[in-house]
Amino acid sequence: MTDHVEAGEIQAWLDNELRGVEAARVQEHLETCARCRAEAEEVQKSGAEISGALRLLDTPPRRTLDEARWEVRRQWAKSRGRGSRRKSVVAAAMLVLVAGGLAAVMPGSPLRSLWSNSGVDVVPATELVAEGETDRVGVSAAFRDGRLEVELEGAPAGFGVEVRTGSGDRVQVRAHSAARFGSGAGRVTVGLEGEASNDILEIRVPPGSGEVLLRTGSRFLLRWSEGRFELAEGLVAEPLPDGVRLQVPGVSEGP
Amino acid sequence: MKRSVDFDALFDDVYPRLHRYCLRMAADADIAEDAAQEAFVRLLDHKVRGELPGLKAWLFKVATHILRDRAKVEQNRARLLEVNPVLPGSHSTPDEELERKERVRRVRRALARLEERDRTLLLLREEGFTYREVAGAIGVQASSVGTLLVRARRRFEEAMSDEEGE
Repeated sequence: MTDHVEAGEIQAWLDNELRGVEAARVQEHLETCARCRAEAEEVQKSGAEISGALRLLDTPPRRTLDEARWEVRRQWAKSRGRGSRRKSVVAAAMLVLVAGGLAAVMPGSPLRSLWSNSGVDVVPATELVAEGETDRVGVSAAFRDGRLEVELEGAPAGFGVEVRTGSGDRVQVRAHSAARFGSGAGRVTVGLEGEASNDILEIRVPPGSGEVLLRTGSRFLLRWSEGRFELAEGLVAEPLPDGVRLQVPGVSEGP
Repeated sequence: MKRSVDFDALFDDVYPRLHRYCLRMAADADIAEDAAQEAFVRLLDHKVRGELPGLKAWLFKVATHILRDRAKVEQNRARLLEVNPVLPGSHSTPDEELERKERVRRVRRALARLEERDRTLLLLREEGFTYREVAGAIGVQASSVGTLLVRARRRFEEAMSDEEGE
């Protein structure tokens, strides 16, 4: 054992991984020992050179972050569909609204204060709940970057989602499993085909859209208007730190 | 962790680094992308919960296993050692581009010559893993990571020198 500090200790000190007396000991030694100071410079230089060399290997991802996230969710939905194709009925449908992403793209949106005040503003909807509900379907939705993503769990064949816009904004809808699409003035419908399935629908809604209505089956679920959610009457809302979770009693046939 | 809320933050924070790690490890853009995404799919599948550092470590560990388990990684690495990426927006001259490609080839070969533990250690540290996180990933004491890191870097430099001499 010499009086000098070892390269590994120097490395740890440079990486700010030493604490207390250990850090002080190395630092004091380096202040007085030219040899170890030179070693520290060498270690630092070596690290920088290797980092530079490794950066040569980097190429930009072919997918954007958003596309990669989408792909992960698609694969996950696919794997869940394989593993639990059978759960055509779930105990309770849930709708999760996440406000953070939306607020982020809409500076000054009242949505932020709505959630931060834990004030889940449930406004009676103008459309009535349909009768004759049968199966319950897990529905979760998340707003992010001006996009509404809707996940379906245990959706029966023919189950559908309808998106209406009140301002004529262009809405794009994508689904990964077999689906039939329909459209009309300010309206997009998506109906799942085949056996009970899981899927993610991606609904791109421009941040400045005046109004968006979301329905599943014959049930109106929510309206987004001027930065506010209005939830259908009868839905039980549970505030979350950054959103709200809804218990959807049930949904039935497609639109 | 509420998946529907925190998954996006986790993804945004970790995915770029995990992708880069996989790319450096596998030397194959397809494999890197698949492994990074599959790690996140498994995270969702297994409903893994926890704080960001723990989830990050979990993802890197799973991705490392995914890469290791793929027998084709090695053969792809061998195949791709001779294939170099063309960076978009490159305005270098043909000679400079040739030199850059040659340097990329040497770095890949040098990295491939390292023991797996050294390679993993180097690349995890490059992604900002703390010594404790690195230690957990490669199964050593956190107190020895500094020393192991210095040794791994020296071996890499030696491998680079060998490559430059060939």
